[in-house]
Parts: sequence; structure tokens; C-alpha cells
Amino acid sequence: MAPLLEADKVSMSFGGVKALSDVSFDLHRGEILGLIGPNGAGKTTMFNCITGVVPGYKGHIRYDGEDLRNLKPHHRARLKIARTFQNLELFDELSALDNLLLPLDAFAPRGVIGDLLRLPMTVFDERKTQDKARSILHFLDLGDHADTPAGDLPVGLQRRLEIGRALALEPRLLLLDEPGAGLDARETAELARLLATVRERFKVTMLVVDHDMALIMRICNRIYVLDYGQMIAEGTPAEIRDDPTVARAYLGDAAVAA
Amino acid sequence: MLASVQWGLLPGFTVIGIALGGIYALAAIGLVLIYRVSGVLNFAQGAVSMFSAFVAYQVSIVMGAPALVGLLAAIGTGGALGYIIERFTIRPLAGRSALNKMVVTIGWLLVLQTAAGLIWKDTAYHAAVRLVRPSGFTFPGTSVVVGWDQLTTVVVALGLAFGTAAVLRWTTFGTSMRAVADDPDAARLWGINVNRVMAVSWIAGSAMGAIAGVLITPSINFDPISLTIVVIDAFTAALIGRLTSLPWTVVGAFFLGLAETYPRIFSSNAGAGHAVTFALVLLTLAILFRPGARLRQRITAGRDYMPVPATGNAPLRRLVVGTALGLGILVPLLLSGYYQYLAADALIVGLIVLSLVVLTGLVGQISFCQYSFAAIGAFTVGSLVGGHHWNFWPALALGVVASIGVGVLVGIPALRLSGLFLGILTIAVALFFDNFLLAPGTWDSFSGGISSWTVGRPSFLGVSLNGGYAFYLFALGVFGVAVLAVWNLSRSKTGRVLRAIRNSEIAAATSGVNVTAWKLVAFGISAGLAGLAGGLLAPLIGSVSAGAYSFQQSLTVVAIAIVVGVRSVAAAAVGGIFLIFGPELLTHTPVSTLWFPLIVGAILIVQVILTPQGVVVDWQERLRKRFPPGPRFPGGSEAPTRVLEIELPEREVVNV
Repeated sequence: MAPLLEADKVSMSFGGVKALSDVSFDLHRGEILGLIGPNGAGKTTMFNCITGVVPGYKGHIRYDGEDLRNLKPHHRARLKIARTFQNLELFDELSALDNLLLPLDAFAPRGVIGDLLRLPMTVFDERKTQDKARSILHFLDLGDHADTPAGDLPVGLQRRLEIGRALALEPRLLLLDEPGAGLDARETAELARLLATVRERFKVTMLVVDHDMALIMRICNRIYVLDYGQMIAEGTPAEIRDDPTVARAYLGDAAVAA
Repeated sequence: MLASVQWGLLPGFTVIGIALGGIYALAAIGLVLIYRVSGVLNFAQGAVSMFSAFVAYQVSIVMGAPALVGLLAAIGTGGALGYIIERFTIRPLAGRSALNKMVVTIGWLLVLQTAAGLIWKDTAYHAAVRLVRPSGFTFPGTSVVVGWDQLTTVVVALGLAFGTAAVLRWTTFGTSMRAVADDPDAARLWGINVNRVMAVSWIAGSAMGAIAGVLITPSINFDPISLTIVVIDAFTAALIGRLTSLPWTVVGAFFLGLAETYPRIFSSNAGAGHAVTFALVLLTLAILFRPGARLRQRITAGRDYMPVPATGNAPLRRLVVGTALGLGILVPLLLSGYYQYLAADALIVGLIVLSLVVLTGLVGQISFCQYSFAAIGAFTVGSLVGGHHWNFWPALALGVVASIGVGVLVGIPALRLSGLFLGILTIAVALFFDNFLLAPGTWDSFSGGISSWTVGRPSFLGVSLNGGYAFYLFALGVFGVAVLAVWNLSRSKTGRVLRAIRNSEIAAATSGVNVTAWKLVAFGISAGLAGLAGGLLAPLIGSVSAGAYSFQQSLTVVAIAIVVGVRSVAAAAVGGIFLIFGPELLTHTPVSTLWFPLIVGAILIVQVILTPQGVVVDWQERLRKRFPPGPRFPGGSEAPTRVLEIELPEREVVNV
């Protein structure tokens, strides 16, 4: 069986800067794959290529054997690829519940005419969708905040809500861009447990980018290391931890020599 | 028409075009300076020029002082206006969105334009202040005459542009101006007095506008409206300079001047309207097809955060809506036929306000061409019913469909724009309608030689709508259904999707929303509502004529919509009533109805500063606080599934 996601010599440059050069990796069904690397290594760019937010990469990205090249971001969402953002892109003015409703809405068979007339079918389907969104809110322990505008939530809850919005898409592939950024040790531990539960409950494959080695080492089955747009190492968390190339990329040559 | 090409006119037209370019450059320099330093696209720039030029007129022509004294008075007036606008109406908006600040300048445009009209009369002839003699010299080696006034305009334009550019580049104060332009917060940390720099840029920019105004008036119609509209040409020139580069703005201005002039070589009857139209098409192209056309809106400009309130108190809402509906049905019964007519008019205009509730309230896009969409509805009904004797209803349906179509067409280029630049594009559309599509003569072939159609009132389900009250009830019904539909829309999928797009396009797209399609849907709905209003205005008024659907009308309706609040469907009714009965109310006071736009502009300025959400929305918030809604989910007592304590399966965790 082909891997769920397959990056095949993906390259991307902005002006003269090569953000990614010939990056290849496989993501197998059911695993949590970590993508780590220093700042500016090209991790977020990789996410943008996979979700189609930035067009114009070279190489191939295959999802379930299908080349994603000509698909717009919302088409890729329809293939059940969901993501979160490093700098949080919640719908700030919408309530937490409405944030979760949105991906469900996007797929719902409800159109403008039905909305205008508030047809019985529309109302029925909308109720069903709301129930689903509320169950995700409860799953994330955000039930008390259903009516709170997303912009008014503390950052920790915003991160969780964004994961919830991605889950509302019922994804097969979940891309998490620095889910641990801005969280303290306790919150990070909770996040690690949450992600493990998410994999169990939602049967979702994950690609996680983070700086937080503790988080990545704890939850990932395998790890790829990016540096200056190039893949420099691949392996289990234990292997990566002992890899001198990785240490050099993170800490510099001198530190490793010493 | 090519038979009448007169190449011999080329040198002469070149001189005219360059002089016109000089005028546009003058008008644009102050605009660019203000935008560059303070990030505000100053719609009032033309109005400030105009008002200052009228002060010069007052001093020199009316009171007989030398022209130079008039010029100094104008410069003083311009600088003072610039200071007042910045100090008292822009500075309090620090941290608010660029759109909010632009709206304030629209308020100033209305105030200054109306004030000038009241003081110096719109229609009267005003002799221009001439600083230099219009006679000139023959350009060496040719027979082309160049006027001294034309030469002065060009020289002053070049001098101001390059002088300002030099000040920005080589002086300490210029450096602090550029620092503030890049990042006001960082500039403040470096000890730059940001407020002072902003004030100086507004004073200097407005004073330059005043010089432009005085120099321009001999060449164009000297009245409050024409000079205010010069700001559109200035926008075009400034856009060619990406709103930041003064030298490129000057190049753009000369290009624009020549581009507007040369077509006259080919067609003797190409009037000013065609020239302006050409400029507007060019404007659109300038926005859309410039290489790397990502016109950078200043990153430091704040975004307005206005969370969608939870559902209000339903019994209270029913009470208010029921009372309003009851009063709406009963009160007009007691009114005279004229007031019933006005009431119907208010409801129909309310539909146009409602169209902005959809576009501005939900998607956050602004439009200054809603009356152009209304014109499509009105002219379709007018031509088919009045000119071709169709039944009213199919004509109305066709009118609405046509407006939706045009709305989507306008929406396509708008997809790449937002905020200020979309605003400019819709102004271009409105002026294209004013000066070309709705201009006298354009519709003659369709209407058989008459450009005004008479439209009789239809009957509805066998009931004649001829009577004032009958037609009013019909308008009330249409308005009620439209409000209900938009209310339904705003609290269901469509509303959520459109608001989500306003908050984050990228997140909406990766959540599976086809952003492009939904934006076009919003434009279509909005234009459709405006078109419906136009189609109803035709039988209400009984005839269709172009003047009733001008850019000026669109501008006023935007101002009203923002005053009452674009976030609430209830505001639509209030807005319509205000727009129609406001001037009517003034007829019963010593104040002339001509004051109405000034009052609207003043309220707009104050309101944006004090209650950015709008008056009606503000009151709704208060009511909501006073009578809090019940729980959103009556059955929401089920125990949440606590998931965070769930033990992890051992094999899932890779221990480090």
C-alpha cells in the first residue's frame, strides 16, 4: 500500500532563497511523523506546499497516490487534509462553536437559497452539524466556551480550538504547525496526551512541526530533520537524539566537537 | 470616426495633456505624502483643495486682494484643515483599521463639499483666481502656443514633487517621516515624536492640495463638485506611483493627462465623460495589472475586532420587531399621500442599505457603487416597461438578475483587492456608470430617442398598487421579506462562511471553503438587493432618469450605512428612514435641506470615533446587556466528555 503522503524531491524558492531543496519523505498511515529543524529550515514552507497555500513548488506531493499539484487549498481540504497554523489563524470574531462549525459547513449540502428561506431541510441539517461541533468542543474540554468569541480565549485554549477546527474537517491527514508554541510544560504534557488520544479516536495520521524536542520525542514514531531546506536526517526519536549531524545543525560545530 | 483624425492637433494636444498631467500631479502629491506617512487614503484631499481654492476666490475676487494674497490665504486654509482633520479626527483613531480612517475622510469630503456649496453656491459662476496670465509663448521651432499658466502648473508640480522627495530623503525630519511611515511604533521607541510628524505631513499635504486647487481652478469647472472629484484622477496617478513614490506619481500623472487628451484627436465628439472613463479604465488596470501588484497596506494598521454577539434575547426581539411592524402598517394610514410616498421611498432605500449590510457587514468589503447596481434594476425596468411595454414583474425579475450578473462581474477584479483599493475600484465603476453608461445619449437607441422612461405602477395578485398606501404596503412587504432573508442568511452557513473569510481567508480556504466563489456570492446578493431597490424605485417615482443613481448617492448611502451600523439588519430600516426623512425634517426648520450631507458627514466623523459599530448596533448591544439572552443551548446540560485524563495506550508513546 502506498504511503498516505509522499513528498518527492520538493523544491521551493522565494526570490533567490531556496526554502526547500529536493525534500523527500514518506508518511505512512496511522503514524505520527515529526518534522524538526532550526528556525528558517523550511518546515512551514513544507506545510504550505502540502496544503496549497503557496503555489509554485517543484517536484511532486502525492496524497493517497494522487498528485496534489493542480488542487486549490479548499480542494485539498476536501481530500481530508487539515492543518493548524504557527501564528494561529482562528476566526477571531466568531464564537468557538462557530469556528468548529465552519469546516462542517463547508461540506454541508446547504446552499444560499436554503439559508435565505431557512428551509426545513436546512434547519435539520444545521442542527445535526451543531451537535457534531459541540461533541468536538466537549472532547476538547472547551464546552464551557462555546459562545465565547475565539479572539477572547487565552492562547492555550486558542491552540486547542484550532486543533478542534482541524478535527472538525474529519481529517485523514492532520498537519500541526508548532502546536506547542507558547505553552508551558504542563500544557505541553496535556497537549501530548491530547494528540495521542486524537490519533486513537479520529484514526488520523499526523505530521507535526515543532521546536519543542520533548514534545516531538514523546509523541512521534519517526522524525525527519530539515536544515536550510535540506533533509539531513531521518529516524526514530532515539536515533535522531544520538545523530551528530542533527546536533551540529541545532548547536553548531563547536558544541559537538567539545 | 477615423476619417476625422486630425494629426495636426497632436502637438497642441500634447501641450494640453502635459498641462493636465501637471494638474493631476499637483493634486496627487499631497495625497501621496499623507498616505505615505500616516497610512490614510485621504478622500477629502480634493475637497480640501476645493475649499482652499474658494477661500482664495473669496479673498482675491470677492474682496479684491491681489492674487498672491489669495494664494497665501488658500495655503493657510489648507494647512489649517489638514491639522484639524489629523489632530481631532484621525489621531483618536490610532490602532483602528485603515478603512475606518478612510471613512472619516469621506465624512470630511461631505462636510467640506456641502459647506462650500452653502457658502459659495453650487451652481453660481465663479471666476478663477489667476496667478499668471493665460497668454503664453510659441514653443521654439513650432507653431504650438504654451500658456504661462500651463507652464507654471507643470513647473510647480515638478518642483513640489521633487522638493518633497528631496526633503524626505536628505533631511533629518524627512528621515523621521520615513521612519514613521515604515513603523510608527518602532519610530516612537527611537524617540521620534510620531504625532508631530503625522501632523506635519497632514499640514504639508493639505497645503500642497491648496496650491493645487488654486492652480487647477482656471482649467476646470470651478464648482464644489468638479474639484472634489479631481481626487479620483489623483488616486490614479498615485496608484501608478504605488502610493509611495513621488517621482513615479508625477510620471503617472503626465501619462494620465496625455492618455485623457489624445483620444480627442480621433473623435471630435469624445467629451470629457469619455476622457474620464478612459482614466477610470486605466485606474482599474493600474490596480490590477501592475507587476507585483500586491499593493502593500501598512502592516501596522490595526484591524477592527468586533466579535459577533451571541444570539440576542428572542422574546425581546419579537416584541421590538412586532411593534415596529405594527407601527409600520398603521402609522402611514394617518399620513398624507406625500408622506406615504416618502415612507415607501425610505423602505426602498433601506434595501440599498441592506445590500451594504451583506457586503460590508458580513464580508467586510466596501462598495461605492451600490446606486450603479440600483441603476441597472431601474433602467432594465424602465426600458422594458416604459420603452417596450413589458409586464412589470418579468422586467423586475430580469433587472434583479442583470444586477446580480454585473455585481459578480465587479466582484471578479475585486477578488484580488481589499479594503481601500476595492473602494477605489468601486468608485471607478460608479463614475464609469455616471459618465458613460448613464450619460445622456447612451440609452437613446434603446429607448427610441428618449432617455427618460415613464413606468406605471403594477398590480400585485390582482390588487392595483396605484394608491399611495397600497404601494407603501407592497414596499413594506418586499422590505420585510428581504430583511428576513438577510437575517436568515447571517445566522446560517452563508453568514458564518462570509464572516470567516473576513477574519482569515487562508484559514477559511484550508477549512474547505471556496473563498473565490463565496466572495462572488456576496457581491451577487448585494448587487441583487440594490438592483431590486432600483427596480422598485422606477414605479414609485414613475420614471427613470440617470441623475438619481449617481456616485454622490452611493457615497451618501455608504456614509448612512456606517452611521447606523452595517452589522445589523435592523439598521437598514433606520438608515432608509434617516436618508429620506432627514432632509424632509429640515424643511420644517430654518436650516435648508442643502445642509443634509453636511450633517451626515459630521455625524459620520463623530460616530466613527465614538461608536465604531454604528448607532443602531450600539443600541442593540446596550439592550442585550440590559436584557441578557437565555442560554444558547437550552438542552446543554449533558456532561462534557473529559478526555484529558484518558490513559494513553502504552505502544503509542515512544519513550525518549
